[in-house]
Amino acid sequence: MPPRLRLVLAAGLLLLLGLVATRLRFTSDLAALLPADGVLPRALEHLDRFQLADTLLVEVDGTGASRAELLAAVDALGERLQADPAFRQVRWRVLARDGLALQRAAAPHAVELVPAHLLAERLEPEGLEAALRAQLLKLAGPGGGLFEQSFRQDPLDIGGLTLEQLRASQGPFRVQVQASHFLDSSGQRAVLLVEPVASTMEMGPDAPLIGLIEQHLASCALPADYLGGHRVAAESATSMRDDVQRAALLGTGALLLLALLGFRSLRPAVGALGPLAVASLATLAVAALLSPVHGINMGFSAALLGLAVDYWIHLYVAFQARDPEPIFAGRLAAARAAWSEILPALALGAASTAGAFAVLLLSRYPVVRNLGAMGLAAVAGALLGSWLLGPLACAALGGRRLPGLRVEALPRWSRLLLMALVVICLGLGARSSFDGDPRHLLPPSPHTQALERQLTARYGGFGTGGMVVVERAELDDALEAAARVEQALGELPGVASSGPGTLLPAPSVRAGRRAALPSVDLLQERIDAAAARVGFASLAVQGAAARLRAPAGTALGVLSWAETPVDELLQRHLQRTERGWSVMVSLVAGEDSLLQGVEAAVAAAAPQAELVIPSQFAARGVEEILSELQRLGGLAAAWVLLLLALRYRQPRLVLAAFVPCVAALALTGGAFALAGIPWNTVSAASMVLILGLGLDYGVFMLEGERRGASVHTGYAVLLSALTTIAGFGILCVARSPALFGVGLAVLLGLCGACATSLALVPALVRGERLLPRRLARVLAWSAWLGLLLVSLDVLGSQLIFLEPPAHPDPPAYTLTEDQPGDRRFGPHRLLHSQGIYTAWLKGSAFERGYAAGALSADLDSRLEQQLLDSFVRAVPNALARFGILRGVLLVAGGLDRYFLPEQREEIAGYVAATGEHHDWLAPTYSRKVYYHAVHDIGQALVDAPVVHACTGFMAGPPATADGHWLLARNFDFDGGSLFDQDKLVAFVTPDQGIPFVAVSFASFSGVLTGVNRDGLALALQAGASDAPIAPGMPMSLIAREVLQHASSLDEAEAILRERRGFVSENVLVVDGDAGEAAVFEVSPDRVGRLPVQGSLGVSNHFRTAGYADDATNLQRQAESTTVPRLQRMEELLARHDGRLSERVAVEILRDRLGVGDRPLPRGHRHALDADIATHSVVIDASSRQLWVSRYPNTAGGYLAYDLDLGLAGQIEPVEVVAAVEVQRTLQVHRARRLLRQAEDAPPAQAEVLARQALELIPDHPHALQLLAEALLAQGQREQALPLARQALQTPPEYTHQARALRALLGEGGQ
Amino acid sequence: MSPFALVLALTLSSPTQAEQPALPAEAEAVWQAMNQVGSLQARFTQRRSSSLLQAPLISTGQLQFQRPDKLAWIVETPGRSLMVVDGSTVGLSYPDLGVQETMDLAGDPDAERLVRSMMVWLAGDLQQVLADYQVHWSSAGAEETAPGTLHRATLQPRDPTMAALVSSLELCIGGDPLRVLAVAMLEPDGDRVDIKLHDVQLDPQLSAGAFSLSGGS
Repeated sequence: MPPRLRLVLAAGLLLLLGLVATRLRFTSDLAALLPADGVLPRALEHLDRFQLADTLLVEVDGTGASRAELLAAVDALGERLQADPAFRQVRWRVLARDGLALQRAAAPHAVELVPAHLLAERLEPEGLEAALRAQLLKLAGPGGGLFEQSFRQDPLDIGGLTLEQLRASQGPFRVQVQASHFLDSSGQRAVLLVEPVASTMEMGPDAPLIGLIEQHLASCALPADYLGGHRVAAESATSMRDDVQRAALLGTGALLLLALLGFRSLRPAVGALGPLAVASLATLAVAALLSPVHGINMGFSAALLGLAVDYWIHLYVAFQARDPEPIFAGRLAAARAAWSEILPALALGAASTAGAFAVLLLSRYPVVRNLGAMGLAAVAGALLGSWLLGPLACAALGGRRLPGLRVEALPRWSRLLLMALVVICLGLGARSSFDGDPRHLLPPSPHTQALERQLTARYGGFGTGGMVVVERAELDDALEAAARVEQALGELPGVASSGPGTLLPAPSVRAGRRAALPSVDLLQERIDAAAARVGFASLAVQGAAARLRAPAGTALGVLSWAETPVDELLQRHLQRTERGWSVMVSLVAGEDSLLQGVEAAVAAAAPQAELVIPSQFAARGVEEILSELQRLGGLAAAWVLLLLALRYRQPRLVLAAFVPCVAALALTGGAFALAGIPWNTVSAASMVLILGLGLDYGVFMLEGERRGASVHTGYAVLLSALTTIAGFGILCVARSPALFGVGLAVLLGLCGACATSLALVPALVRGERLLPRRLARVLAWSAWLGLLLVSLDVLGSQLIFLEPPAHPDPPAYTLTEDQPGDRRFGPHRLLHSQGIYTAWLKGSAFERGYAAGALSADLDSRLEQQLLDSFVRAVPNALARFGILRGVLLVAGGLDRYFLPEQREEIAGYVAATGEHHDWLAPTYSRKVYYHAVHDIGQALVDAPVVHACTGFMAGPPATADGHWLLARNFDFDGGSLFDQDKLVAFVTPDQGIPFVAVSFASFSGVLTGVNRDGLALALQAGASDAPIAPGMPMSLIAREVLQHASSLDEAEAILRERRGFVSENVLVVDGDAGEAAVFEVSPDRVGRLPVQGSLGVSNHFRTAGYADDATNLQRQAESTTVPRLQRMEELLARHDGRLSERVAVEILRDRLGVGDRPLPRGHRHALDADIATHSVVIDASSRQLWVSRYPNTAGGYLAYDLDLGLAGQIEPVEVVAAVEVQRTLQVHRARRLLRQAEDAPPAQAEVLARQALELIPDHPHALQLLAEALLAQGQREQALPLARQALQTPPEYTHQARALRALLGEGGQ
Repeated sequence: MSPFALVLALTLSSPTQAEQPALPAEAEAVWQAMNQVGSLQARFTQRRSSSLLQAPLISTGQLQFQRPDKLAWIVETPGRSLMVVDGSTVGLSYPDLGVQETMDLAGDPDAERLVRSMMVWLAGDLQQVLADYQVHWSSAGAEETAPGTLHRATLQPRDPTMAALVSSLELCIGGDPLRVLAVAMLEPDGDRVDIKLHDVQLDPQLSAGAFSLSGGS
């Protein structure tokens, strides 16, 4: 084709593509990336409709100022913001007219807005009298004359009750209204809620709104700061811009340097412009045809333009390798010849890449389809641009001869090194993690992050937020479903929820409240009597009952709240859509582990309701997309391999072409894993570019080698890689994780692909031996040995896995759940009420087990997963885990032979009902058997077992107030909070033995705490002794035998002596009927008996004479927390001597002070209540009463059961102790998670995590220690030492921590 | 229902001006004298006679006033309650009932004026009194409890909404220095409230916290 025609064609093409590209439109709507019919777009729609992202929270800090100064500053700031047209709404105080509007709206519907139980209390004779006395007080008070009018209209003050309800639904922020302003709990800080006109989507770098807000805040008389989506978005955008500018500057410099060094001229950079322009416009034109496209798509596609530069470089280098021609025509001919020379490689590389992108068109995700289409366009554009303009540019630019790269001269050891590196990185890559949370891609500044933590702690409550959305055609139906959801969530401890029910109760609720009112005559009679007693004339309350029962003039509805301050709040919960009505119930779960319970509760309450947890949703959405990419990536890889196979027909050559891709993937994954950098969406997507270029490098090197041109092909590959690294890899200097991830992946991936292409591909093409003969032989033998070991393990496992006993047919019952949370299976029952699971089981061992399995299979699955997660956390190395599991199976082989037959049958029944879950680990029966010995095996194998911190006491007359016998204990177990959330109180009536109630977990036949019908109460607390550990009967099953078959201490002792357990244990036993108690100190060697005289505290060591010289027992006392806990327990027992009762026992179990009432940091393990008890139980063995703690730990309150009533089937518990400090307990949990992360984190990250933990648990010694260690590792000795001293004085929880601190301070160790 | 709601309800109609007969010079002098008081503290006994009650309701307590716009009204018997007015913020507390409310009257000029009118007779602001009430003035001889001339001012609300609540206010003014000794409030339905002030201290030192719900209680 003549040059002019090429130029005309190119110009026409550019014009045409440019014209099409002008139609390009962008969207920032994430829904545009997702399939229209999926769950995720609907979740996004809900979030968009109901979220509060556009509200800013401004905080004015009045610390040190007077209240008047604070309020004046807030008023002035609020008025200034309100006067600024940039803000739609500003709220900072409660105005009198708001209160009036609210009262007017609520008054006609008071009876329907007040919960039935409150209304019933008010309308009882006592309630009426109390209400009228309060009215009298108001009448006598200031403004009594004015109050008289409202008294005449509402003598019983039902309106007051209504307002109390409405106050409880003030909004999303935890603020209190003081002095008519929104203040924090200290009253020293005030907040303003500001809604800007601009949305968060409009926030770019240096957004004017940000400057405006900062200007307003700077003019405030007191320090003020703000937080919200606008700030986060603006800071992210600014950070991104700064990163790009910095990288662009560095990248341009690097490219210029590369051009000068590599090409010895800047001309090639000019020559690349033509192909680059065609490829760019082709990509933009296709994007325009797909419009609107999301910015993410554009970002990914921009990276593909690197292909155009690569094709040009290959052409230019091949051209320069030819003899220089003095005239244009000669140079053009040489360029065309160079084009023909590289065409096979170019065509194969382009076809492979294009085919891979074509596969992406099959995706159901628009984001992936768009990526495929735009990638195709980029490849086609690069190829077309290079063909049309490349030779012309070569001829026009000319240039100097390039040096070339003699790849065959690379030493052999470099190949070995590279292969070893790839293999190691492949292994490491399996450990790399993925962070799908898009919020982590562009995080705001450290100041904003710290502010977010502070404000969340002060105003936002703790935990994971979310929403449940119910959609129905009719409003009433939606309200009914939302009411069920609200009720279900309200029963979950640790979960706070808020729905429209306060403002707009469901019709059935409203009707129920009206129906619960007493008759007019009865009510008026009560009112008259109460009025007479208080001193009101009968005239004052005349007709009050009739007015109360009269229906309101207009029904309560959405419009009832128009023009009131709560109207906006209602809009947050309830909106009209094209599908009908959408009602939202918001929720905050104190811990992520609670979300499973939330999901189950919502599904039971309203099966079609949608649960949206933004933090999970974001990660889940991204993971789904990645999973789609992986699936299609597999197809694309297959296509590429097929193409390579068709072209080369020899596995060796196919491998040679493909190996740079493998190396790129391995090196990137391995390096990310080694550095602890998680993959994110952007870095993962950049692999598309890396693999495409890697394939090109391989193919070009292969073709170059085959035609004997590896010298200049290698040089072209090297220059291609370096230019791409200079363009994109330089992004690894960015601060934002998004760009840093791309930069690092490109840098590592292309380095790997380039090095492999240069070092390995030519050798593979030439058929050279890559490995020394001896090494190849060793590797082959290793492979055979590995295969043999795997085979042996498979065969051996079959021998050591346990077989369940033969059992009868399962009972022919059906599982039903007519009421949410109340499951029935024949006569058997599992009730989830008030936050605790309670089971009722009866019959043969197999039937009981089967029924328990049928009723609680989901609980069992959750618990087992958490147990395994804890195991993985404790032993992160997979090989070590495998070794431990196989070791346990070998050491404790045939464990169930120590079980009683009925215990084996019960477990077999459970397994038959639940089926197989984690078969990869071991068959279910084997696993269940070994889980019964987890505690024992833990003690046997590990020096610091998971159970070590149980503390309890037994007491009887004269120590108790009523002469009853008590057993109280905290069961501390580090297996995970689900063991607390899903604890099970089981009332069991076996066909053989004594009926009993026990507190444990689903699928667990053993007993940890319980009491039987004969008044024998029992609890297990770990001990320690020198006795050799050997397989035996798990202690929990020995305890179960005691509870089921013993009626006295002597019978209990006989069983304890007869059975041989695994490990050492304190067994606390109380005989309520005989009036005696003892702690049995049981080890595989001996049983010591320590009788109780009045009261006796028990922790985790032995005190009878037989163990006085026991080294292990002494070591336990010296190094663990058992001694300080026992001292504190004895101190409290002495203090309450003669006054002990169930309620006092709860006080003791909730004690958080140290010996001598010394204050301890929250969560300190020396405390009796270290916020870790999986269950806390008080048993009155004399009256057969059982008080059981509710999640979390001891903070969620205590529920009472009566053994006799429970065994008779009445298993509904009664709350006897209210919840207290639930949020603070959850803060301790959160802090512990942070500390666990800090233990494994690099110093800088550990410092951040430890500081965050210290905000939650101030002065905690372990947090102080980790912070000190992190600071020391960073060379900040001055700051570290005072923290270590403080930790040492607190005191540390364990002696090994004290030793570490002393070593750190230089007082001990070296 | 909170009394503030009712207070605000009264503001729905604007006050209308009625003809005010000229006051004697003596009356203006008396008001002028009372207007000199910067702060005031007194104990009170209030007797409420109402058709709603079987017997009159007696309450006792103390009040504190500081010019221009601070008032604390503290009821001690039969139960504790407190109202404080500080600028545009009005607080009400019933400690025995666990009730505490604070409202901001800013942006509601009518409501603000009405709350302010509760203090108008304490402040001795004749101009404001004449704006809100029609005033009838009379003077009588001395009484044992308060030597000197006793003056009686009868205030009738000009605003019909207010008038629906209060027919008239009778202020008994006397003593040396001059001060309000008693107030009688007559309501249209025949109910009546008599407030007697005693142990009156003029211009005492009042703490700043006296007019907040925490300090006042």
